[in-house]
Amino acid sequence: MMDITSLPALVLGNMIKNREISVVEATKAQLDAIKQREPFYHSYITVMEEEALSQATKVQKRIDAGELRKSALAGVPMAVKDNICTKGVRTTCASKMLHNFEPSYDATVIERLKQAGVIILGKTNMDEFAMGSTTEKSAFGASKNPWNISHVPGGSSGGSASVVAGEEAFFALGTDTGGSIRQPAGYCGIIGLKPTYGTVSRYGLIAYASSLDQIGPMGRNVSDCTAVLEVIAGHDEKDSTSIHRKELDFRKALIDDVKGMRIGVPKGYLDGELDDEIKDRLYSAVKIFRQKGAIVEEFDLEMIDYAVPAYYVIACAEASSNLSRFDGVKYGYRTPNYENLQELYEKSRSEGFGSEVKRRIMMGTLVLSESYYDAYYRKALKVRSLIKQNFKKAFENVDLILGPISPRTAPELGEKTQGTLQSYRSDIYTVSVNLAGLPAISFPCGRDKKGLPIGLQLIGKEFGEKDLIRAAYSFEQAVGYERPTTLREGIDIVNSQETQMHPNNKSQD
Amino acid sequence: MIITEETFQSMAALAKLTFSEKEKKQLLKELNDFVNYIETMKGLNTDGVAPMGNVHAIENVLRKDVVLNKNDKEALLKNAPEQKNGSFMVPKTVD
Repeated sequence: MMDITSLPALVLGNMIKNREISVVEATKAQLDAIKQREPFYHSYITVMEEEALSQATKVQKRIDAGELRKSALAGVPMAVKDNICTKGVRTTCASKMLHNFEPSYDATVIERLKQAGVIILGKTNMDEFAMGSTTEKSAFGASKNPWNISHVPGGSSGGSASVVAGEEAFFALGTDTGGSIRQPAGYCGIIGLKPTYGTVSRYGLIAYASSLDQIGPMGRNVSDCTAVLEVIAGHDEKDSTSIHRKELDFRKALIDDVKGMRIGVPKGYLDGELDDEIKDRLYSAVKIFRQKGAIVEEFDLEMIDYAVPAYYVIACAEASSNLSRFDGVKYGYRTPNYENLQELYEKSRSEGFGSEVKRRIMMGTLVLSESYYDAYYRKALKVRSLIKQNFKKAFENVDLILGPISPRTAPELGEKTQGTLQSYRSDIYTVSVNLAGLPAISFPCGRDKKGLPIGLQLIGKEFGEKDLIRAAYSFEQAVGYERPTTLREGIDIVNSQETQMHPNNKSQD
Repeated sequence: MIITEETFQSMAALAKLTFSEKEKKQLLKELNDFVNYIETMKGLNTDGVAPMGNVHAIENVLRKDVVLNKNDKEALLKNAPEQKNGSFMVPKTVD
């Protein structure tokens, strides 16, 4: 049988519909690839082999009964970030705190995907409680970047990005609180879509910062991500921040035409810490958009420097509140040594959480405490207001904003050159999108000298997903998708490890 | 140092976290760096700006008080670190 694991999700969905391949065959092929690649990538925390195969049989029956005719993704195997609840399957948030937690219910997005006949292969690695940008904060060890396994895949949805790029799943769900879908998608050379806040239900997503969190698709092309978004988007009364949106037929926006579209590039994104190679790629993207008829201009986006401090104040404040539920009583980790209830709380939390999580809980507790509330938390909420207003103003003149995702490409594993604050600052291009609740899509645009993918993002106005999809789809028609070198050249992955350690593969474009 | 050791201890107590001396020293420094960093927000004039907690101006969402969940007591108790007679076990809280 041909190797189907490199196919786009929608192509596989079509083959399944046309009876060219069965759901069980597709699932088995993907599980085989996982077994072969996982020792190198370590992208999954839990692989659900038995569940996936039993689901595959059930879905095939539903297809045979003519039930899933309208579902473009029926029978397609995918992966889920491990902070999204899956009934009866452990959901760890990559934390010792939840190492044995088995939710008694499915998140709304999981219910919707199951309804659409999608096969869930497993739960992907991430930074603990989604706090981090490399997966190195996972209590289960870091994942690797399929482009070069001595580099990180990014984070926090690093496992999801890695399984999609490494062809261990046809697509995946990630979550984006301050860039956690877009940044790893950029590092791994795939597409990541962060929807407008409230578009996708957060019911069953283990909260990090509730007013910023949003679930979104990660895939190897824009069409796949768009099809996934159509499945997961929509109002849910179980999430009180879920909004009633009309026109969820996002696939109608898959048009290769950006003529007359106004795209703005914030000047402030081009100086400062941005790597020159990424800047070059950004200019080449501008050229491509112009060639296709878009009007691209630089403009002043104010307050860029205030987004990161405001983001960390708000995110940490919400995290300190959200994570207070983990107390060792009803589920999760409980310390073996305690004398009384107070000690049970303190020791379970101190032993169950990793250092980054504890750091953010402390920062959040601080900014919410009586003496600092007005100076920091309330101030950050006001800054947030202004940032949103500024975007609104910018979108009076442009349809989309084009910019980088991160100042650099994927760092090496274990790289210790960055301090905590410096690593927070590298979120500068992504966090303002979450503060303003806007949609954004990240997409690959060539590679750097080391051969690592360079990602860019387009930011849309509120509910502007269709503009994003149209522009990203159009761009994709011009540049195409590139598989990681090892997969593309069919090199035996064991041998390729040596090649990757001494990269001499030049950028090919 | 804006954040003193005393403030640190009271934050840790509120957050129900304990730290070793080494962790405390490191984190105290980081918290102070963090505070210095977020102080930069003061450079932005926000007089008369309303604080924004949620990006959509949504109001309280109400629904009928009807139980929709199934009785999944067993599944819930399965996750309990300790349980007895269908209840979660905790240390004695009242003498």
